[in-house]
Amino acid sequence: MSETTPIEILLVEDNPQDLELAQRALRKANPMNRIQIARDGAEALDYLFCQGPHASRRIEDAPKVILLDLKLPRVDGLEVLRRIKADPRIRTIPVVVFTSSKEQKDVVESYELGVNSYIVKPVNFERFAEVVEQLGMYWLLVNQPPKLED
Amino acid sequence: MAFEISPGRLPDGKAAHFAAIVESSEDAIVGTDLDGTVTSWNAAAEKIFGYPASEMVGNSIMRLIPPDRVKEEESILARVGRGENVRHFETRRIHKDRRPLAVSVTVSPIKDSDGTIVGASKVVRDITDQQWMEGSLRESEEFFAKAFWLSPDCVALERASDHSLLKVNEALCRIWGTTPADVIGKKSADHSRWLSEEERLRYLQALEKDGQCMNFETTLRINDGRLVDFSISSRMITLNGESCILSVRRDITEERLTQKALIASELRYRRLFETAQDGILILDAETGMVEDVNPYLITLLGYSRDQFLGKAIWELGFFSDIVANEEKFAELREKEYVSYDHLPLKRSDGGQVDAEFVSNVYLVSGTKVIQCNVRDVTARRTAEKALHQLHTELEERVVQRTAELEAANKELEAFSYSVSHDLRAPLRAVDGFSHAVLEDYGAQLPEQGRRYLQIIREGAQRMGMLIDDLLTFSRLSRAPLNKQEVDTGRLVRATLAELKAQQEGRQIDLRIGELPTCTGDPALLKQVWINLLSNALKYTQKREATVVEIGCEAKPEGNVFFVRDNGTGFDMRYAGKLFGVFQRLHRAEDYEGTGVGLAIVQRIIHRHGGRIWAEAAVDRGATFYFTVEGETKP
Repeated sequence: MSETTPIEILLVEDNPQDLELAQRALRKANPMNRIQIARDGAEALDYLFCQGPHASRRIEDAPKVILLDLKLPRVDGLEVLRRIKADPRIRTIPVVVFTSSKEQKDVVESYELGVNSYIVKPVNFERFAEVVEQLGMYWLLVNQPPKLED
Repeated sequence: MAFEISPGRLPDGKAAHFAAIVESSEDAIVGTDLDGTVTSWNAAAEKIFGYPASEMVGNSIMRLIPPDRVKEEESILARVGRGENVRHFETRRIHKDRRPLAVSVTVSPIKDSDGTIVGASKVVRDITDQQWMEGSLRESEEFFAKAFWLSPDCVALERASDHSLLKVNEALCRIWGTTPADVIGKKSADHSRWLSEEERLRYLQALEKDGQCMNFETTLRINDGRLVDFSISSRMITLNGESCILSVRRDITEERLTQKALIASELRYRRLFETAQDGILILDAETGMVEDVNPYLITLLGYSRDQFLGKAIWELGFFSDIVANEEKFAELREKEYVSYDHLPLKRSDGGQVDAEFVSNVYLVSGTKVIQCNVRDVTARRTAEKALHQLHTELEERVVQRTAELEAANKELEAFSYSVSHDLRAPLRAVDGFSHAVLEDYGAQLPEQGRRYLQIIREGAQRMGMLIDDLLTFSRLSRAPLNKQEVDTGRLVRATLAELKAQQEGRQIDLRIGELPTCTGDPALLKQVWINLLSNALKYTQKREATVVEIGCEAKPEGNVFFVRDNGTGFDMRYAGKLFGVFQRLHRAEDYEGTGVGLAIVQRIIHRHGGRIWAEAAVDRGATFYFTVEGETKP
């Protein structure tokens, strides 16, 4: 994966199996998808705010969609979401919460923080793949994100 | 000097002598002519009638005659005119000052020297006093006789020598049950009344010793054999030279009863006073002096009775808070009713008593007294304090328990969150990678290998469903009820619309009856209908023609909703397991499911205060009934 090509999907997922399955599903839907992976909330924030190992990245080269798990080590998903939506430079990036949690509390809080979609990961892989595929299709192709200002 | 006598009849000396006699007479001596004109009037006449001679001589005698005696007077004069004498004739006359006089009159004719009757001489004696005396005596006698006869007490007069009765009155006859004729003159007629001879002799001895005996109390037998208490007062009197006993016997039964009642009443109230478990203090309302104090107050405050009595209340230290001085006491008296819920009293040993104090003023035989009641509430106050403390502790405990419960709830939430999140991740891995193996290497696997992987996937997926249902069940148990009016009909039709979408190709006869509104949590009630209706559709899927009936029956306990199907039903012997978590009455390969649906339904109904039950038979369908108790409209 080259740094020059713009990243289309930021996948924030700590569980290695879920990560692999998500990658498999995304690749199946579109092998050309460029995916940046963050294994916890802190890594995600580093990437998004061009900090630490991503200090050289330009914030304008934002991903087209962020798939965000909620239960994450170090900084949790809701906190990441809050930070994204609090920053005018990146708040327009669509965020899809993609989580195991069906808890109403999480759903409500996510929507209150301005999440664009809330999806519960199904156990059944076909449905999992279907959801991932639809996510990719919708947010990458159908939904035209507003242009970020330079 | 107005007396004239015919001249020539008597020598001068004699005439003067008579004139002197007439003038000094005590009786009125009046002369009239035959017309009744007064011709002479002596000094006694003036004294008796009030008129001087100057007013009477030459005037008619008729002014002295009462109108009703005029005829009588005329007839007397007529008789005298015929030469008759009228002697000691008693009649009435009128005094000058109009008062009536009783008189005795003797009238004789007066003749002139020829013997011709020319007038009348009247000798009049005033018998008014005499008549009154006689009348009074008669009246008095009558009075005493009546008093004797009518006295409510038994009165008897007996001869002292032989105790024969001389007189008895009505009361005695009535009470003795006899008549005067039966007892008068009978000796010792009275003896049988006495209960003992000794008693009778004791009475007689007392009587003889002093000549009288007052209020000798004894019991006598009366006519009907009853024993009656009498008080006898008697006196020795001499009547016609004979020694007699006059006795009065008074029935004192009533008096004794009243007295007994009074004594009993006094004793009762005395005992109340003595044994009361409240302190009682009686004060003279005028002086403030303690008149009485009951033992309870003595014990309560530790002062002796003598320390109370004869002291003014403000001199007693323990009441210093309310009656520190005489002015304060006046207040107590004027207010007539005073009460204090909480009055600290000092005991003689310095200890303190918590008391309730009530005082009120009332009259006892015209004298105002103040009664103070003092109730020791120390124990009650202690108990109240303890109760209060207990209450506070209880509240603290409730707060603590609530906090613990909240903590436990939080823990449970965290637990289900963890289950929700963490438990499904490995299942996704199991399913996902089994799928990956099948997809990537399926061709290299034998048929049996692919089947096994498929079974692994199904197991993982089933476990996913179990977890989801369990979480739903747990969430519904914890979520707060958001009660509002729910349009049941609309809710049912919406639910059916959603469910029917998954039932394509089935012939389903839905019969929806009238469904009244109810009050409940719409989301939870929707879950109830989803579960019951999807069950109905699930267990009828093997029927060629499915019939599902939905309705409501008005019962005394409220509206009973029901869902009836013509499905496979179940054996009522296992009805008890129907609503348990993970309890299933059918095999998984026959009807899919986790066994949580009805448990959820029951939990929701119970949380609403309702009731759910089912009736079914194997292969003959099932009916589920439920109420949203207390919330359904009549």
